[in-house]
Amino acid sequence: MLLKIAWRNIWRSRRRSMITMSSILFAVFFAVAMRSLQFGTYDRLIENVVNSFSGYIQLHQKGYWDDQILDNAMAVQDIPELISREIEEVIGVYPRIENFALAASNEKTRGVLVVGIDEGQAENMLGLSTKITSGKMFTSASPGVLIGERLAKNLRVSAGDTLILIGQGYHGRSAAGKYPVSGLISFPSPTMGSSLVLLPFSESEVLFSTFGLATSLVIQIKNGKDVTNIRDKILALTDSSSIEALTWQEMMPELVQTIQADSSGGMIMIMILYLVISFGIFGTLLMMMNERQYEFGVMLAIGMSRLRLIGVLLVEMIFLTLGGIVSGVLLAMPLQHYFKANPIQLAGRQAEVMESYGWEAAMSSSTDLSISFTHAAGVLIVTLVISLYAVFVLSRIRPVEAMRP
Amino acid sequence: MISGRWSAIFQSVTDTRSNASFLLPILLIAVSPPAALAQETDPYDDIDATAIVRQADQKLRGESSYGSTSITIVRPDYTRELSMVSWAKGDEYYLILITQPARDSGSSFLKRGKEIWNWIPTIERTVKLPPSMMSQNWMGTDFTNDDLVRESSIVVDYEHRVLGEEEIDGYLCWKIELIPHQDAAVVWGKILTWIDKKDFMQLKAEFYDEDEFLINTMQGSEPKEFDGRLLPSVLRMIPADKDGHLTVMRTLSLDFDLPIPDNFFTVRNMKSVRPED
Amino acid sequence: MLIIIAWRNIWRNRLRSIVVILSIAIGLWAGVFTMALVNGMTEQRTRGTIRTFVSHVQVHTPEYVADPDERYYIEDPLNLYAVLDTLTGVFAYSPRMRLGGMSSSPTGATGVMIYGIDPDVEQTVTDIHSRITTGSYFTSEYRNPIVVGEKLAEKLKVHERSKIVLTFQDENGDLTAGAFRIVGLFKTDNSVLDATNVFVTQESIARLYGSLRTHEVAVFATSLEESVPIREAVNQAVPDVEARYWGQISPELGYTADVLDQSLYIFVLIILLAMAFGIVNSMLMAVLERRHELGMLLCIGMSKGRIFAMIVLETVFVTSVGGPLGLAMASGSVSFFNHRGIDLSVVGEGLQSLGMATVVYPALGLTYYVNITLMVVATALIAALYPARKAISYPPAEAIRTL
Repeated sequence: MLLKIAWRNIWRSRRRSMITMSSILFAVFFAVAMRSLQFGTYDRLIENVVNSFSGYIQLHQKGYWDDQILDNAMAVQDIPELISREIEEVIGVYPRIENFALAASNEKTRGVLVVGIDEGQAENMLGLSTKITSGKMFTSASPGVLIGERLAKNLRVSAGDTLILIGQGYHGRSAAGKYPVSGLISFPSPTMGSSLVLLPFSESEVLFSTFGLATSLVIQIKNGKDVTNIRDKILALTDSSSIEALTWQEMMPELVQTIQADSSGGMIMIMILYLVISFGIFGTLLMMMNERQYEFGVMLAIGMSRLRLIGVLLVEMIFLTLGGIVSGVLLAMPLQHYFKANPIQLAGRQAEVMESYGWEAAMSSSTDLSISFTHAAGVLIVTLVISLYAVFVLSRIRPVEAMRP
Repeated sequence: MISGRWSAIFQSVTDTRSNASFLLPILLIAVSPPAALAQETDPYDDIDATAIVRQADQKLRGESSYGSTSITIVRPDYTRELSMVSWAKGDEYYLILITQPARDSGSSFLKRGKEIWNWIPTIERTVKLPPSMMSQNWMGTDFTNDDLVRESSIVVDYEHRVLGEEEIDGYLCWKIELIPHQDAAVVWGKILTWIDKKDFMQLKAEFYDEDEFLINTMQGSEPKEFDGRLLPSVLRMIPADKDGHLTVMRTLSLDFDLPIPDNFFTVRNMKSVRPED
Repeated sequence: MLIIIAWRNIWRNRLRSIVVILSIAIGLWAGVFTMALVNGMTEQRTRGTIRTFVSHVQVHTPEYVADPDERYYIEDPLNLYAVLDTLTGVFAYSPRMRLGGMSSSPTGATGVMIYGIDPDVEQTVTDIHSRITTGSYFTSEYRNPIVVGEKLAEKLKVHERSKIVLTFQDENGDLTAGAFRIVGLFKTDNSVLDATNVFVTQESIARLYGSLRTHEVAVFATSLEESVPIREAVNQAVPDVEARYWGQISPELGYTADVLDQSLYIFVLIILLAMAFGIVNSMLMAVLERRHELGMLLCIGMSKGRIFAMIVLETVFVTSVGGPLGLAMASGSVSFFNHRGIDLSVVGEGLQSLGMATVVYPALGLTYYVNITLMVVATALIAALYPARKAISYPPAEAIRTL
């Protein structure tokens, strides 16, 4: 019975109901929009950073991550083919050899980290050919090294010069090699730019005597969200007693913390937004109660119990709230997908800075459903709390006064 | 220091310090942990530990020397062999030429004063080793570049004290404690060394950090005569905390005081030097 | 005439007006406070990095700037000091000797950057001394004291009072080494620098190096704004050095401090849109409520145009009350929290593990206040247009019908 009255009330004054519902709709819409943009941008950031070096998941010999020495390299065998074949979310498995060495030019010597990568990784994952500022990419036909601009400056070399790498290889064998500098790379971070030397994977095998081995297998996946799942699948496929698989969060806890730190500022922004939207809903409700005073007075005067009246109103609010929430979420969804595919491009100084780090200067949106759910629930709670005001008003209405025009 | 006080107390009782060298062979038979002896009495106070250490050190040097050595590196997963010949002149000059394995053959290391150079024939380059390489393991062994060129002097950088006597492999040795001088640029907190009383061979050494944790042990064995000097022909370097890690250095031949001109030890020469004979 | 009517209308229905006024005020406050918060965080990060690492200005020889080699040192530091002493913007300056080398312990070795400093002077410029976690900042009696980061001590498996050996090249390019005693461990929010930077007294390092060299002079200014003037002054007055301010030494810091995130503006826009919709809804509801009154006005002959104008005027008045109110709330809360600080640890564990301050001090420049106020006012006025249009669209006859 209550339901019927509530339903009729809603349709009786469509305008009023629309206005009320839309205040809730927009509340949800804006909350979801803001949080989606925040999270989307973080996701993009993670993608950029993770793809630019570490990869989402890495496979190593068990114990390598804690003791990163060449002697702890793993046997590659057929693991890459196995993983690519069995797990469809994986789009690439790339072997890598990393080891410290001394780089010497004609004039200077510097300690460097030598990273042996194959062409697949160089192109598909690191996108190196777009980052080369001078010279060109190394190929199997013309092997050489790629070094950061800063390192080139420190060593006083440029593309075409020769670089010597010496150090220790696998099982104590000495490592020494002479390579032409194929090209210079603009690396995002100064540390990387002054200490990385990239070498074709096959050359690094010769240099360090690591045939058939890799210090890590870097795994590229389609959807960053599934990291932990995919990692577990990989472990199930391989010999987990001798292989370890780490996610980027485990490898780069500082990045996780940086994002958390930034997100805390974002949280506060959302709280401020909630303040604004709560007030918006409240204002609308206030006006609605005000507008319907006459109606309430009449209802009470003709004998409806106060409690029932409150009940009717609450049911109305519930209907409107649910309607508002659902439509708010539905309205937000296409936007989420649009901005995920077409991120908001930033320009100006901020963009320059981000690009100098090798990141896209753009704000993307997340399409994660949990955001919609969270804020639908949030606004629901807010609205219900605000509805208590309506209850309060109704409990105090004096019919005679209310009916005065 | 403690030894002073003890010796004062026991001076009247024993009064045998000056005859220590006579009495000790007798005591040797009766002696159980010599540490106990050292704690109660300190007849070693007057013994010039530094002189002992210096003599042992001198045995390894001469005006000059030339020797051939083989090194075995033992690890849990693998074993590696190296052979080399080396020339030394005083403390200033040192040249090492690798002869085995074939991959590394022809590589040489040159120390001139405080500079260290490395010649790598496979890439035809000499590289001057920067400080960052000094603490790295030399050629994958458990010795550091530092050890190799003996930047720190066991005689000069330490204070020496005889703790007692112990028998190692049938040789009666001084057990000597070396504490680095405050300023000495050595990482060790303490070194214990066992030097044989008769021939001043270093038969054992233990390297401790300042918290008295044992980090490395060096053992000398199989003494042979090299150009009139009796020296352990085999040296084992054993890191304390790493199971299955070991480096063995075997001296195959060693000749002293050959005439080697200073200009032998040049960057130019290191590229073309060949083993003698 | 219209003005008086509009004004009276506002106060006639106090509840409605108060709701709209507060919406505007809160919207304004929200926009400003958000910006102030983020700005505060950024400024703090900048100040923190300057205080701990970069300083406001650093002076080297031009060759050193191009290639940080210990051979390039400032030959006439006294001249530089004399100039710095004359600049009122300079709070303190600290000369340093800077050498690359190797640190080793019984169990490990790693490359380090050795800073030879005068501790009493250095602590007026940087705050490493306040980040000592164990031990002290050079208050001991050791001959060669050294202060290292916790991360380095971890790497080398040493602790306070341990001995480590520093190996580096002396003035002749020859390898030399010295034993140093760790007297203190520090921790900053940059674990990479914690593992690389070590601090020793100038006296001890110069003794091993062979002579005292000044490779770097770090300057701490009385305020952030003095950085560039100091740089200019030094570059003009002292010919053979190159002074750089923090924005040049650490460009990332420079950019993020310079410009308030565009992304922030987007978020503020969202907040303002939310406010706008709130206003629209409240006013629509109000218009609905006023349809009798409006219908009546139409019936007695008021033109639609005038009614429209009346409602817009009402909005203008309401905004002119809500605006200053919002501004007052905004600047009040910003300065209040500027003094007191907001503790973010409730929402950000990440901050603490990064070693960053969890207390934020919002701050905002005047231009931003102006910008946001303009945005809010514009939004409010535009928001009023739709309800105003709606108001004049009621057929008068229906409107005056009750219920």
